[in-house]
Amino acid sequence: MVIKGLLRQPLFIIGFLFILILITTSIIYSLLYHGHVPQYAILTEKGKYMGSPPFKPSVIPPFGTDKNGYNMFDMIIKGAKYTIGMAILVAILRTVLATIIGVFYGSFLRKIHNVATKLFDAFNYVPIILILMFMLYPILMMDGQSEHYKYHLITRLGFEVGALVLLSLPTLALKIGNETMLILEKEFITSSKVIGAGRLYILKKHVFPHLLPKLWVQFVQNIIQVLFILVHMGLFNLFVGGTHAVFTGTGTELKSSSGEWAGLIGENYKLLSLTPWVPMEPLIMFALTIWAFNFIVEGIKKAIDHPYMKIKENIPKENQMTEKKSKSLASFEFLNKKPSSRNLVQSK
Amino acid sequence: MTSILYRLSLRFVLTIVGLIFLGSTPALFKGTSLNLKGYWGSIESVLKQLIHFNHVTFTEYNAMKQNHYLLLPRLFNVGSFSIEIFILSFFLAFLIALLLTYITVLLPPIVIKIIKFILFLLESLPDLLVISIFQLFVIWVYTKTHILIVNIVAYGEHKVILLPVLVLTLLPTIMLYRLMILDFEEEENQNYVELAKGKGIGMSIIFLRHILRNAMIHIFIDSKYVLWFMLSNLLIVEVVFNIDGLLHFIRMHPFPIIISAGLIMMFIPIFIILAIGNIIIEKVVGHKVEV
Repeated sequence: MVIKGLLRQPLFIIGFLFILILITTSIIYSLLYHGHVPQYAILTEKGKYMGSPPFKPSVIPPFGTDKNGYNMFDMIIKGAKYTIGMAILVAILRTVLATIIGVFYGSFLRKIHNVATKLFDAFNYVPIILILMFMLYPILMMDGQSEHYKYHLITRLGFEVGALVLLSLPTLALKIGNETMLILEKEFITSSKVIGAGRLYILKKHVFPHLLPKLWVQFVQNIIQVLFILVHMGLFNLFVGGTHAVFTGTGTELKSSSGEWAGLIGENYKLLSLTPWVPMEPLIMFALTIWAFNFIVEGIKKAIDHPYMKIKENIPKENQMTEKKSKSLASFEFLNKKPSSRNLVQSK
Repeated sequence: MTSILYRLSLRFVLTIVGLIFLGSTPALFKGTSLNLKGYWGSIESVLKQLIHFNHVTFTEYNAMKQNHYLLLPRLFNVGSFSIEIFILSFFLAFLIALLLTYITVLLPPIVIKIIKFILFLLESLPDLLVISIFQLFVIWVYTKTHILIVNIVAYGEHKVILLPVLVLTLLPTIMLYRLMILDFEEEENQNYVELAKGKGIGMSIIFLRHILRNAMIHIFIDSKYVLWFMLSNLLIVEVVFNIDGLLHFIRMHPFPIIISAGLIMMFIPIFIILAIGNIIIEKVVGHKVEV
């Protein structure tokens, strides 16, 4: 049912196909080349010196190379699966954990609601990336001197995912808890209780089905949030899987150990004015991916709002009054009412 | 009125407690293992230091030498600049968005639809991308005409104000503009608008007299989200333009007391804006509005 509804939404299809193609090519690329990225040294034509890296996109199409001569297009394709995969993984964990906590909170812990909302409101006045930076910096950074990580790759990844999930959990769980409370105030819940339904039964049969469409929207929106955070982490040299520090002749060079997009921004952002295409390309890819996921969200929203898909809407308490009023007023209507009366007013 | 003042002060105190808890997060982990004891100790010491705040010092390494400075004047100096550009940008964004919305609602529906879609696309751009486009544009103009429109990076005594404010205004304007159009469209479908139209009142008067007042509640609630979004923009702007601002300062000195005090300092002006808005709206609407 839901999937059929989604397939009718062109925005959803565009977004979904974009992400799907990007991830599949990325995986196929890794399977074919085992993560090897072609590197271009000095270019010569008939024995004549033509230039050295970085090459512009016009010299080595389509995306040019970075200052070490690595092909940017290959790097972006290679990195796509890590970046998007990371975002999806974190979003899944966030949504699932926040749902469990939120539903429990909404149904059993209503008494602390007033205090909890205000206490966790602090998260709304803090740029999350700042806190994230303090938590992740000691873990993800490679020791510049010994060129060794302090922790194993799995630990680093686990800690990073954990931090990204943990810091958003309070706000998200409160939101879902709030939704749960609104649903539990509905009349059909009372009638269900009167008939003799238990708390768990009500959660399973009534609360969860009403929550589910909103959770899907939350899930995709969280993917977008994580992508935004990854861009910022890239600027602050915190890369997925760890920040690789390599000594070169000119100084320490920072690299992402997995090769995801944030790493491509971070190491090249200082060179924005010299080689603008190198940091701009991963940034543009981020923008395109976020667009695709935003398309998916819009598609899901429209599919849910579709009359066939509608299960009872959760109208906030304040609006219920106006809703009732408007219903009684709507019973009086002009028979020859035009759909848009605004044009009439304007032409006057 | 007592009730709203009570609610606001409760919110104020509890949020500051929350900020202190957040400010100590660097002490929460020792390596990768949870260190609750150290976390609690850090919170205690932050509380103690906040009470004797004018004696708190911080250390800076300058040319291999340790220098101790008093925190209070320094924090105030960097903070006032950040808060200035933050609030300036927010109010600019709000006014521009309101003005644009006023013009937009008078346009034919199909144009509104197109504008909404464009805004939807613009809203998804990462702030770093927008900043880089601005910087590249300034550089491009400079190489073509040798006119430096604005300074793109702060160095030494040169301060940059125009470009950061511009960047910091642009994205919230887009967000607020889109949110306002959505809120106004929702209001437009209400019956009182229909009635007003039926009476022959012009659209622009309906907008100013009726819709604006009712849509303000939603816009106000949305503003809180926009302000939060602007905070991370501010950090990026401060870092990229090398501004000696509050968030940049916190980033360079990651000690629990500095993080907590800095976050509280950033929170207070935002809270004041939201509190004033809350009081005004409750007066106009006449019932409880929670942000």
